[in-house]
Amino acid sequence: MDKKMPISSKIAFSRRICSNRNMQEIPLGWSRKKVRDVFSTFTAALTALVLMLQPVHPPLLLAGENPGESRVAVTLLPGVSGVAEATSDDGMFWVGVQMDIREDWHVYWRNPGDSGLPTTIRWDEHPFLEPGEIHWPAPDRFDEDGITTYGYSDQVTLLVPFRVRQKAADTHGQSGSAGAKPGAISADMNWLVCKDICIPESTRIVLSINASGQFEGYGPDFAERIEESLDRVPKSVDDWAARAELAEDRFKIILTPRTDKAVVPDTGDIYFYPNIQGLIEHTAPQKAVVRDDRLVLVIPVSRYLRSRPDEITGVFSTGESWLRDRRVPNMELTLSVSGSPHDK
Amino acid sequence: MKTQISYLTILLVAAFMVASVHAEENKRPEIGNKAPDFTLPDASGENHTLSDYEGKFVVLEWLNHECPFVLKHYATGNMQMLQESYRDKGVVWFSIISSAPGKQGYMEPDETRKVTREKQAKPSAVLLDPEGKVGRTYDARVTPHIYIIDPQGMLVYMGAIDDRPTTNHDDVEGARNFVSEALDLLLEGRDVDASTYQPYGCTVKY
Repeated sequence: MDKKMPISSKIAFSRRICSNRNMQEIPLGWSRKKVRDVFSTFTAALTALVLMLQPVHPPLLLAGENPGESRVAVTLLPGVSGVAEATSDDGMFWVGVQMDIREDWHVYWRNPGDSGLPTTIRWDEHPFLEPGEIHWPAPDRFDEDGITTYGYSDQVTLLVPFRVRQKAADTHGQSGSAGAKPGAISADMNWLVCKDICIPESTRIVLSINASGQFEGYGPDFAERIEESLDRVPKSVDDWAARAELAEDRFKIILTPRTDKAVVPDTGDIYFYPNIQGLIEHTAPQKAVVRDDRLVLVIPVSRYLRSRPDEITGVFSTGESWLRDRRVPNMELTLSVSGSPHDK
Repeated sequence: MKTQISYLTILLVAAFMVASVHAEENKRPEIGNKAPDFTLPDASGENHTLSDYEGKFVVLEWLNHECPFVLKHYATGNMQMLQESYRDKGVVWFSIISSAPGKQGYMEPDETRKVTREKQAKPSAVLLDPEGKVGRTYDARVTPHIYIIDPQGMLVYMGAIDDRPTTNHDDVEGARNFVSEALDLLLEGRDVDASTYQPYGCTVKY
């Protein structure tokens, strides 16, 4: 490269490197070892040298941003058939953003953990359909080279609540009147998808609304699929109280039942996912014990925490349920934090 | 009897070695503590020992040129600009590659020199840590992960390069850059405001 090359050309140059990598597709269902083996052979054949012991040339394992090769396929699932149905309910409906993730790859939760990046959806303004924040299903944990990240593999449906602004909808004459603008709700969606390497991907998502106010592509099973995903979203539960004490670089989290509906699940698989980074040491094992009828969870503090937070919001997860009368494996609670100011 | 004693000696020495290696591993760098010393070769084969640079500020930048978070800072010229402008002010800047052979970001020395030239990167040296020893000692988790060491050899900053944990090249402009913020204060003889900030990036490919 020319020493005096301007920055814009440098960007173009680096994008070209990326697109060259597109040629290296990794077929579905291959183990990492197999992929590596095949690439090793390929490299060796290509160079026609006896270099079987040479490590795989890393760029061969990278792929670029060509949407045709996306590791994640996105499908929009409106929870109602159209604007009229939403309005007749309570003016609120869900749109599921289903991500089908290629085998061995994963995308991230709102708190990605030690690395990674949460998925973002930037909605365009619509005259009468107003989006809310993403409701995130409870995540799984991933071990990436010895550090811990939070996210999803296989499939996840992020849930976005929409509100119909009634007056505005009326003015737009959506109820089948002639000349009504059909429109669409649309957004730019970005995510980072990782295996042993990470690729930023993006797409434009569009949910078209036809002249009579119906969502195009609506399926009768969408409402049920949204329900299923809503089940995975952590619930706010009044039956448990939680607080945390900060001492000696550890959070001691104390969960206390407030009603007789609260039930202490098996302590072996309880895990606390804070909603934001930088609070706890994500890699540390979390040990839960029952003391009297309280549950105590001790978690090391992140070395990047500079001062004691007043409160922490996060998700308590179990394979069982936090309540007796219904299955709630994931509950979201806000803990007040006491203890000495944490200064490093 | 003599054989027994020498066996015992070997055992004791072995036990001591295991213990000291273990202690070394547990010693994570902390702000305000002495930064762990190390010696690593650069891409030209020349060894660099951290303690030889006492008297100067030293920046350690964990590097993997194929990581999209790193690419954001190199493709926009941001990293090169930081390296060049602070080296002009007497700061020593080491980019460290801890990727293991065969993993993403690993490069042989000649390729490292070539890529450094192509990217017009301006570190004092690119150090090669294919065994990940120095990376693990510093608990470097992501690329880019930044550490700043003061002229007394104390760790004064560790964490993110800036406050925009994204891969979007447009986010470089307008970001709060913790490295330049810290170095500007330090070079004026003042203390760093934010001595740690949650790092972001790709995992280090140990």
